[in-house]
Amino acid sequence: NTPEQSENMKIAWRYQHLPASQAGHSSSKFGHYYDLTKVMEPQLISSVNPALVGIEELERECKECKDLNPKYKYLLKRIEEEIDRGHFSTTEQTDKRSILRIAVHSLGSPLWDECGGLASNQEDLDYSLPRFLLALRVLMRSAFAVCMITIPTHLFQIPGYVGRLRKMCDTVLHMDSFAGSDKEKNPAFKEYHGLFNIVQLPRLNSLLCHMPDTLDFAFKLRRKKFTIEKLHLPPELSETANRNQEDPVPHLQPSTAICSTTKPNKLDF
Amino acid sequence: MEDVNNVLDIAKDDNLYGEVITLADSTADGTFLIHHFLSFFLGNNRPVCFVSLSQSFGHHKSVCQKLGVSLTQKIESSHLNFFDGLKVFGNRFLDTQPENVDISNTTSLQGFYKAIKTNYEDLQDKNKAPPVVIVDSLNVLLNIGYQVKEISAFVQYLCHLISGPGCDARGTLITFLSIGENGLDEETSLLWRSVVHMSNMDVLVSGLESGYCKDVHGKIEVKRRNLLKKNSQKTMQFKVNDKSVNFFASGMSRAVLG
Repeated sequence: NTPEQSENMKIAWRYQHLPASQAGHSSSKFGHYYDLTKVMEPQLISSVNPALVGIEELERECKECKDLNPKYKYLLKRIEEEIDRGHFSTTEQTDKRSILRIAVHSLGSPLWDECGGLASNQEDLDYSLPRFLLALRVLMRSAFAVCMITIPTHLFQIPGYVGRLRKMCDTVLHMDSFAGSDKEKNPAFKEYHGLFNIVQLPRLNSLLCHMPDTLDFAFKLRRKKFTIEKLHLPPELSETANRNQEDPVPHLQPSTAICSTTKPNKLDF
Repeated sequence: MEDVNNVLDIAKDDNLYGEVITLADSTADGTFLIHHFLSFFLGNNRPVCFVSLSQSFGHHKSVCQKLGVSLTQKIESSHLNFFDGLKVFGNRFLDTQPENVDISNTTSLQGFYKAIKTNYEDLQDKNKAPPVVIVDSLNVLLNIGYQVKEISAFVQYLCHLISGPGCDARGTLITFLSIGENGLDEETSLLWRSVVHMSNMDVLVSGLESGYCKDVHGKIEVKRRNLLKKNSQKTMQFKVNDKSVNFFASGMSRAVLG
């Protein structure tokens, strides 16, 4: 036992085969760059020829429908039209194959005449949103298209409803802002603006979906950059393990350091 | 997949005549079980009436191909009847004229049952062995507005459909249900319990209590109810691979043991 040897800390045998953690965060970052201080160039927009379904169009054109919310029905009709117009259907032969990108904002919110997922009598469920998602899936499965929707799930009061909506989608991501919560003051999170969790990944055409290393990320939203990073919590350095009641990352159990336990340990003798 | 059969205590040449099996998943994806049964029965030349409500034909075809079964070929040889429930029920909410108005009536599943019965009897005529009915997934029906009572009755009718005269003429019924986080969705849990009550084997796939793990995807619980034999229960952990699923006793994953 030379003095140098006893200086080196040994990693527990349990973890010897694992790689040492990556130095720096750069390899696990992913983000897009833009500039919120500038207006987008008109050429960029006109070359793409996007279709916009705005609030006035929805109010004006939607028709009475007993099966689902008239605005959802109209939206489905418009999506189908766009797929036909741009020849995005999988059954069509075309020379220039590209992908139709569809973005729907705040589905399930009062903007779409929804009331927390409840029908007008405030008691029964409004089945419009799941029906919309089923019909949307039919359209998506036969088109070269991808559809991204945002749903303000905090507006739904019915337990289990969000779970049902998730199952009707392929990929589900959950974003939780720190603004206005006590996590904002937590020093562990001063670098980030909120949590970004992977809830569900698509399992299509294979037996399993992609299984990432972790489902928990955090995001940073700046004027020129939006980045998503693996959530790195700093080590617990204080002697007394004094963690908040509510853990920041769901499902993680707070660990108690063996050396600070006061319960009699069977190994003590 | 052989390993799945081992966990379910099913032998390679078991026919499961007259059996009603309920497959469910809560916080992990258990749909690999559907592809297991599809490939198992079709591989044994058993006719299958596959009622698909949540995914397209293309998806099932791709997965089964990896497991060594060609769904298109099985349809051509009258061994498989694929009912595209996703299109039938989804199209009702699109502008396209609904072709099968009877089937997608929003309160009654009678029309839907009758269509499946027709397909089942058609397979019966064309094959010696009694058909298997696989329904994926019942919660789609619940999500779009059918009541628990209606869906429960629908499953009851299917149980009756597969029970023919004599042991050798009885088909098999397999239903899949996603029940979500345990107990949170009351209606779905109620539907699950009522369907489990009608079945003699129920399987539940759920995530680990400790959360997500790349190497251990979840746990599987198998319960068998049989009048003649003693009831049995088995719990194991699993990991899904590209073409197979590995099962191991809790805590015994190779990744964990190091």
